Amino acid sequence: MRSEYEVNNAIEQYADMIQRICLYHLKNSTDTEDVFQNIFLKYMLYDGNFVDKEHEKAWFIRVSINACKDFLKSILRHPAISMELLAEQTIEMDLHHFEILEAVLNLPKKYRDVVYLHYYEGYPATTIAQILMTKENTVYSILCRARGMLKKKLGGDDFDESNP
Amino acid sequence: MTNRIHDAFDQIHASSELKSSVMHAMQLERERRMVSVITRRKALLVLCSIFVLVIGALGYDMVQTPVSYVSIDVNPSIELALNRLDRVVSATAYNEDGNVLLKDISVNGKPYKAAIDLIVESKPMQPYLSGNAVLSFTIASASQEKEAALLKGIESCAGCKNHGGESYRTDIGAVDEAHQKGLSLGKYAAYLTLVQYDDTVTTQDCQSMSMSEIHDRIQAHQNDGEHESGNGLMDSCEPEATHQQHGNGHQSS
Repeated sequence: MRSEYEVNNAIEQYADMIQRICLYHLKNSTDTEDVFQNIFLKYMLYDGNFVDKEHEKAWFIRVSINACKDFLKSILRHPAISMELLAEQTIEMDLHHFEILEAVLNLPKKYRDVVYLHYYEGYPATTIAQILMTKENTVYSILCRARGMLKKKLGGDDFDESNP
Repeated sequence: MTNRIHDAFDQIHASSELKSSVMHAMQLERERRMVSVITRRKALLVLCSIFVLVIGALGYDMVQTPVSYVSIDVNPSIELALNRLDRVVSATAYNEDGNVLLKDISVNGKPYKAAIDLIVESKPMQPYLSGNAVLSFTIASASQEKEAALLKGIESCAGCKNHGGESYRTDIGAVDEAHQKGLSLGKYAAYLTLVQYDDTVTTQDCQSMSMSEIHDRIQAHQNDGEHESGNGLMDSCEPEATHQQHGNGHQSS
């Protein structure tokens, strides 16, 4: 079992990232807190060693995505668009950012992880494929389609970028 | 686009309340699990202790509880109590000669055959085995299989073979009676036979008599025909008793 110091450090370090992942998976802050507890409980009880910080971060991303999916399955909720959570999170957010997050949250479910990992975390398709345990080509396809959808919704020339 | 999405997501943060709440929850969970681990360890410790005690009790019972008896009688009367492993738990002398003999011999913990050889072949025993001495082995056990095995074992002992020992078996119930009368099992069985011919004989009389003297008196009574239907030496004690003789012809029936 990991020490209190290790767990608190991890909470400080990864809470924001997990909050973002929860944002596009879950419905409200109560669900988020439950999932947070599950994730950090897993971390507290995880006996494995991380090679480096990147390895640890990738572990948290994978565990967070799985925890969100498991949570939704466990309570038989439909993974609906997390507008309630978005509203809670964006009270003080300007309209521009809100519209972008809303557009991302309106993407098909399987697109959201890829968009977040690529556009926010900055991972290349290879790493995303490893984290999500999918094919690299699938990641490319998803990114391409997601880009098209976001361009249609949000407009702007900066959606026409090359493959990651 | 990268910047726009990045900037939008960058606005999202976990609240300090959420972090504190999760930290607190983890702390509670840690304490709960520590208590659970300690409780489990205590339970395991108790179970292990019980296991050790049970194994210890069973081991003690196996090693220390006598289940069979072998009485060695010439004039020295010595009785060996054997555990389930056929090892000597205790050796008790039932007369002064026996006491003298056991003073210099330790047989506790030894296999019964080795103990018999040690006693019978010991130097202080040799004077008692000379002439027409009768060396008798009387065994009693709760199990007939064990009795048969012990009889067979005694027959194969050098101490028995070399001195023409006779071996008998008798009822395990006779052990307590013999001890109450202050006699070894073998001598008590011989007394029971003699008393069939002569009811004036007492256990005190037998205590001071050697086995050959008791045998001689039984033989004399049988020769006189006073008791034509008389049974063998051990028969008064155990109707199905078997008795076997080795070497020197001290046939008792």
